[in-house]
Amino acid sequence: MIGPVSAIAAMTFREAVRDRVLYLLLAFALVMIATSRLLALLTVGSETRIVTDTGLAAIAFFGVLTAVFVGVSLITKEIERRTAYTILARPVTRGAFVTGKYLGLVLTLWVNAAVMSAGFLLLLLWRGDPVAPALPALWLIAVELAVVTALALFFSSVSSSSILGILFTLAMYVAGHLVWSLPMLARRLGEGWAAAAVRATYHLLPNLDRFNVRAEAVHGDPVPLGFLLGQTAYGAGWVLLLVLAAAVAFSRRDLT
Amino acid sequence: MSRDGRGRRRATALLLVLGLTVVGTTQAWLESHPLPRDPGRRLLYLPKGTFLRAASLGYPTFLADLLYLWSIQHYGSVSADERFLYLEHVYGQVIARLDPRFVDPYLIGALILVAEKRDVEAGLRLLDQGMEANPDEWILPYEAGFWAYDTARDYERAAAYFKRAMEIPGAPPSTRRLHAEMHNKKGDKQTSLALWSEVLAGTDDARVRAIAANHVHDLTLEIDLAGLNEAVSIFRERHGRPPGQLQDLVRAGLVPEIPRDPDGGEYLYDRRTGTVSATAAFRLRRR
Amino acid sequence: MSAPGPEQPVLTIQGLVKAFAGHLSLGRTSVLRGLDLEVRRGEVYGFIGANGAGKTTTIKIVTGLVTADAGQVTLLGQPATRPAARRRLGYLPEQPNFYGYLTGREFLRFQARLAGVPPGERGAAVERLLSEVGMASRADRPIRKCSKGMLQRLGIAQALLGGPELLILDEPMSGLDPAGRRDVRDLILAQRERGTTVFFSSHILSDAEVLCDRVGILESGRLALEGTLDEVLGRRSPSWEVTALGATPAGWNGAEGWQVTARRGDRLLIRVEGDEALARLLERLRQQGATLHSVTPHRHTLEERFLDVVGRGTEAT
Repeated sequence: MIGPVSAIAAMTFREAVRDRVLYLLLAFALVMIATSRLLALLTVGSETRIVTDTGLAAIAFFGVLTAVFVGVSLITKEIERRTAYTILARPVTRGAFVTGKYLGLVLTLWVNAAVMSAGFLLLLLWRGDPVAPALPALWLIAVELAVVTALALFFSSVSSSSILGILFTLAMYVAGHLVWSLPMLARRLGEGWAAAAVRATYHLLPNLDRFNVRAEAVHGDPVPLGFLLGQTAYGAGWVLLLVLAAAVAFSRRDLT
Repeated sequence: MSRDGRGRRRATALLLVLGLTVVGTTQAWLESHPLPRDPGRRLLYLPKGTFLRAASLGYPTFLADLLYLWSIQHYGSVSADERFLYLEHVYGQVIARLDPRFVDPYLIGALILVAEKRDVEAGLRLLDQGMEANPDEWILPYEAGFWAYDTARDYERAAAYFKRAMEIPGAPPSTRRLHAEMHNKKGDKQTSLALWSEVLAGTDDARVRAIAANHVHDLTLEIDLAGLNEAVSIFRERHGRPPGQLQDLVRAGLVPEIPRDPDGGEYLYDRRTGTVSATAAFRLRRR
Repeated sequence: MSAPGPEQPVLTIQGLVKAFAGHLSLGRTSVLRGLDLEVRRGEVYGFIGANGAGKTTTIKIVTGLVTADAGQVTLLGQPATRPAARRRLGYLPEQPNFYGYLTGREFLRFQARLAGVPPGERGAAVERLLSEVGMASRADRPIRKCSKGMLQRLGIAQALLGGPELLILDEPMSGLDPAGRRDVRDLILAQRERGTTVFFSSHILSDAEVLCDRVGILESGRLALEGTLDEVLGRRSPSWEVTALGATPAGWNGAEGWQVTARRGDRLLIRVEGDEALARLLERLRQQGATLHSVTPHRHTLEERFLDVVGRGTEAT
């Protein structure tokens, strides 16, 4: 099991890092981080705030963009282009294939995010701004990327076309960032089936917004270690469930 | 079922239980240990509505609705020291710029700013912003006039707001009365009298007529008494004594004539103290 | 993993049924309707059928890419639904396609890992196969810049990784130029020499005729005919073609065992089924005083048999 998974992950990573689209996105993000300094020139005071905001936003945004678009094509493209055939005709389970593809892409995204983060942190250092407040935000961006990739992978393995998969994943991404408003709505509704349905929805969707501690980074507010660990475990749990669901869905799928 | 398949199924079930457990427990823990931050604070960091408009992809009014709903939900959870910053930002900068024609946020925002923050100026600023964008909404100047009158006790500005409201079609008739009364409060009784007379002449409503008649009556009385007492004090200055009777004022050229009181009677004059007053049976009707 | 004995078939397919859901899951198209098939150790088996007959679907079920609705597939002694059954399997898909940003060498190394080639032997195995399929000089070219023929060669190379006991090749000759086809043919024959069982599908019958020990003809989801080439082509009751001058065909009604297939002037071309009928015809011609021009043994081509089986109306190629 481990052998094929790591082989497929390594291959996915290698294939992805050679795709020029990735570099385009990376370059764009780095340019954005670099120009945050220019934006900062436009304001009076609060330069650090703008540099931090822009940098973290660029890393998160381009990371998610790559995760969704590359992640969704992960399985559908393999079927459309028949590249999965020779792999799955080996003694490789569907689960191993899906897991390997997932790990390969997450690795790619993390390397990507690490490059962007390095650029961003260097900028902070060069400006003489403190680096530490940004670290929890960067870490949770990485965890969120893993969850979003798992979402993309899941929708990739259940939907027949990439477009549908992208739509589903983006919808889930947006929903995941809005779930924090559901408990409020449930409180408003009081008791009854509507409130119960809202509460159930709240627990069925990954709460992606909790990964966002960029405001804390901007204001230098502390993020407790317990929260970081808890949120990381929460993300890992979702990744496990989503990759599992993707594997089950993909094993039922005929490659035609 | 092959042994292989059974094993795989068991592993799947195991992983499923593991995943659900991890997600469930961490979710519960994270909910009970939230970050020490206000959930509403995120709204505070929204960009100004002018920029959000671009990001709303053509649905600025819908986005404004959403933000308005959220802002109301979150209001209570914003910490006290940030609450008002929150209000001005979310209402004035975000929602109002996202959908300037969305009237409710101006009203609610002003209400909270005035009633809770006790910052009338901020409330009025918000309403001014609303009036600029919605010159056809009488409720905005009406509300502003009310706050200026009731809380700021700035009758001059209140009068200006009511005048503005009054000129917008659809404003309730009470606006005219409030406008007239503001002039009275501010001390300009002549103008107030003229305005109340207009109200009296311009309505057929028996109740409104009665109210207006009372105001006209009282204002006439107050103006007359004030004028006569003023003349008496000038007379006293010139002659070292108060006039023997009110007609002396006419003879001295201080008043053209001695008016009769609004009910057709005569004003009383006490020559010992030199004060003019209404008849004992006669009182201001409003108080 | 129980290794199949020499007498045990390498691949057994019993009662295989598969239908695909139509658009929006409406309606189902039946592709396989109870296919039975057996591939014996060491043979080259040609799986023949028109386009759309279900060859690729059968192969995909055997290789685990598609799940059957009903039926049993035993692959190298294990149910084909188990990934472990594919441990000694080499598979070349129809019109293979691989990761475009990898080079041929990288791709083969990756496949060698999946095929379970021990780390120490991977490099050597990959290099040997690269030269075997004639790709050694082009091994560092990104796959997206490879031609169809090069893809096919890489596909064959990956199928041969790890020394498979059974090679399943889906349309290995299609899309190749004549030289490429000859190379593939030689590769298949070389594999048979090594004792590898080869199961390949084709709609090009001349290829099959040269290569196969046994063939199965697939027709609308069932095996219409199966056997050795001799059995299928009916070598035991050969037919003959007789050319005669000055014969009188009047009164011949076809019941004699022969019939006239062409006529030009007084020259007749007569098709005769079986040795006895031939003897009778020759006697008759002698009686008529006709001149015997030639007697040629006529062997059915696979194509003719195929057309017999699937009906003359079906387009064979």
